[in-house]
Amino acid sequence: MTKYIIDRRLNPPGKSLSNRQRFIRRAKKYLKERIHKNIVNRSITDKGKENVNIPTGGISEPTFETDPKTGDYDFVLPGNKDFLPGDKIKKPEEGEGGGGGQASSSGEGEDEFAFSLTRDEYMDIVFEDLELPHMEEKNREDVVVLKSRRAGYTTDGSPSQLNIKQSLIKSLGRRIALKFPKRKEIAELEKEIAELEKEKPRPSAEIKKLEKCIELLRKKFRAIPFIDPIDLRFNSFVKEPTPTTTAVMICIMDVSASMGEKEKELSKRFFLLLYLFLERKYEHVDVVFIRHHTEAIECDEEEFFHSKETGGTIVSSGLELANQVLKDRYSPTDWNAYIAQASDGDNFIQDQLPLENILVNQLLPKVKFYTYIEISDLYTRALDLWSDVMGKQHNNMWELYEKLSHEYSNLVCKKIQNSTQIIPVFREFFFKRKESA
Amino acid sequence: MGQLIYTGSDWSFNLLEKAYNECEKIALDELKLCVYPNQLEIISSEQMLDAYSSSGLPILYKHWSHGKHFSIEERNYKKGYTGLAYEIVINSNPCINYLMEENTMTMQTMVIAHAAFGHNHFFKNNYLFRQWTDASHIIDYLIFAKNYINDCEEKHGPEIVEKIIDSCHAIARHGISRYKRPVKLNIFEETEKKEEREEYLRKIYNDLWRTVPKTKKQEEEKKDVAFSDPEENVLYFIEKNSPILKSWQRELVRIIRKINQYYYPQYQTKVMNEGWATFTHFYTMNRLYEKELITEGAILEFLHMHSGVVYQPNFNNKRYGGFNPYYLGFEMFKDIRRICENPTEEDKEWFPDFANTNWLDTCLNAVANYRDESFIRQFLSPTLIRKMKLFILNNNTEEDHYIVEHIHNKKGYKNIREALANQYEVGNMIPDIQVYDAKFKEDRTLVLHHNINNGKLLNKVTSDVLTHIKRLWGYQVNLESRENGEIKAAYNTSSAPQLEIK
Repeated sequence: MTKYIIDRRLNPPGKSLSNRQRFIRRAKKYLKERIHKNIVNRSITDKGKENVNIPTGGISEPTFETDPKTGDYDFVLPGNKDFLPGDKIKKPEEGEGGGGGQASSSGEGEDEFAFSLTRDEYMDIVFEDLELPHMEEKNREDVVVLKSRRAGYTTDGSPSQLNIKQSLIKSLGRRIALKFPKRKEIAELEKEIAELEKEKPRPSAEIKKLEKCIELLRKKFRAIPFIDPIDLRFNSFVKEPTPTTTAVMICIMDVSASMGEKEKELSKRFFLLLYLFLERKYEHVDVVFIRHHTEAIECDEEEFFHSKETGGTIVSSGLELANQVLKDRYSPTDWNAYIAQASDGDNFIQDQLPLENILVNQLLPKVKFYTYIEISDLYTRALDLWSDVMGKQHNNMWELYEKLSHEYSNLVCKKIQNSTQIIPVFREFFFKRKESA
Repeated sequence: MGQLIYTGSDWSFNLLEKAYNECEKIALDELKLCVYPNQLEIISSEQMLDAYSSSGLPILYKHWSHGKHFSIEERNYKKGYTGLAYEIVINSNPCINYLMEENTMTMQTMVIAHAAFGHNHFFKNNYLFRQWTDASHIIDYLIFAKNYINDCEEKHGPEIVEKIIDSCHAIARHGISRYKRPVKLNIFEETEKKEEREEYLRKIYNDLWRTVPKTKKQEEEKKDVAFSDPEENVLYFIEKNSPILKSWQRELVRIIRKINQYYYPQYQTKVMNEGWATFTHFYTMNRLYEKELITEGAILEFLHMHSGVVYQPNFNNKRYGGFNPYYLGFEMFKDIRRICENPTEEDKEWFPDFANTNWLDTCLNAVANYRDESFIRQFLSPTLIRKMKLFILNNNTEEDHYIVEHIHNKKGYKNIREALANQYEVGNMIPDIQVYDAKFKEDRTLVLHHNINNGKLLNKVTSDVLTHIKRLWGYQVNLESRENGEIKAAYNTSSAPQLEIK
């Protein structure tokens, strides 16, 4: 009987990849809904696979099936212990009835379908149709940095860049062209002479001829150098402008007494989105966390979101520090800078002028994009209204940012009241602007 | 005696070949099996998951539902809910056996005996497989189907193709004409026929005909042709009669119907097929050990796996999920052998025609000529009923009690055997749905009847299925659940959200 044994392990993997893509396309609506709802539970720098549960409704495959809760029928079970004909057995609660083991074939719950997306698939859905503004149209030249790139070989260069292989190839070629004699050839001629010597009578004429040959070869051997300056080749590098692929994101948050957990939570969600978005566009993203009340401190993520401070608010302190960080560590030739600021909108009234100053003169010219979100819950909005009525100056930051946002296209600001607005606001900030592209 | 085939747990291609040859000797010479040529393919666990998502077929058209099943399987596997199968075997000629690379040498040997000989013999000899599938052409047909669907996607756009396939999937199990002799799949004839159909349509197309007024007689004739007998093959009926499908769309319906026909013997012979393969591997492994071709360690490893495969939890066990086909089938074949070799008085009374006959002939006869339902009805013995302690519960869904009707005693045996056999009847697995009328001369409403079996009504997704049928039919679809001519429940598509092809 014939048989074949075939090793299929070497076949390219991912045979069902296109089915997977079809499935994602099909379930996209549901995936999107869930992702937008759950994105807030992630840590900012979280990586890895994303598990998403989606309702089975949209991806169900209905077929004609009988309803286990209807009918009158017999069924056979194994493992009787002590039942006798005529015994009555109470049915288990919660519609487990039927007893025939009609477990769901998927092994999952009935209502939810759990699905793992790769990080890329996840991000594609989160940031569908979004674009970083001012990347293409405005600052293309600014976003470049000079990078060395190999560019073949040159005949001149420093000894450290000598390319031995290429140099020897050249040398070999030259020697072949000039008929550089081989040692073997000479050795063979010598051997011939030695053999002729043994012969009797000694054929001296022939020996002489051969000796002449050898001498000629030896002369050539000495005259042609093994390696010549003409052979040398050096690795060559050229500097080329390449778009930078690094970005720094500075998160500035007001942590004064007026910012509660809820406000911080909202800011966190916003920062997270921005981080994820930048990460898609740049190879490397640095995140700097700056928190401030009356003075500003740089801190890590944990501290940034969870420690509580009391006291008043001087916003310019935070911006001052951000400016310092940019100056010291992130030169604009190498880094694309993004600033995200979150605040409840309160600022010490005397700080207004310095704030405007630093924004206009220092930060806005340096950064690619500056987002400001103001978190105002109903209570503060009520206060605003009250102040309006009283004709008082209030929430002075909002007015300033709003004014500036008309003058500077890389500044956007928005008010957020609750978490459901985060995604819409974010999408509004970054929605692909066709007219500017 | 023999020289050990292998000693360690690692396999190699060389060892596989040796093991295959030894298994073959036992299978062909001792068990007298008759098999297709084998093709053993080594695959990785990821490829095994791939194979799962295409229902075990090596090539399958692209569809999102396969991606969905893949991610379910992948998740269950990665979370450790389920292990992967040791093997998958495809009813084709040559018979393709997938072996997992993770398997130990003992597992590979067992799998070769199980799949390459047990299942393979079953595919080649069982009457249902012989009648319904054509092993030599299935792969060609699958390639044809995949390419055809690909072409359709390119020509008409993937969305519309997906919609039609979705709707076909909803009624895929209702694409069998049980009482007609099935036409086997044959790729060459299929392509030829497809072209013929198209060519014929092209030839006869003449727009003038449309304008010629029909005589009254012709009209009458058409009415008469409309309906004589109910049609159980819903998919076939739609393919031939749908007023809205274009010819390439009919071809899609046909492809889905034909591919599902391939599964028809499989779900009717699960117990027998797995039972026979298990019986074969059990026999083979023991013989290999007796012939001193495998070590004591190997036979112990095998027994450990084997007992896992044939594990049957009792009804009150948390892990109970119905009968384990491996267990039931294996026990029955073992029992047939026992009855043939050492019948008791009871066995002689119950099975006079094969007690004390050659056990192998009886088994091979069973494999060739029965399906699960008739196999159980014919061969389930009182001994086995006692061993498994089978009992019958009656479930009247309107009561809050089950009633124990019969247990493993003299009065119960026959009833238990009947009841268990009925459980494996196709009609008990898939609701009986038939096309009853299509009102061609009126509003083209498609009327389906569901013949109620044991009072079981249809569940709540029924109207979703009807909207899928409507998508293929183009007009309203009604469904009546009937019992003794009396309508118990009715469904229609007028209230449900509508699905359109475009």
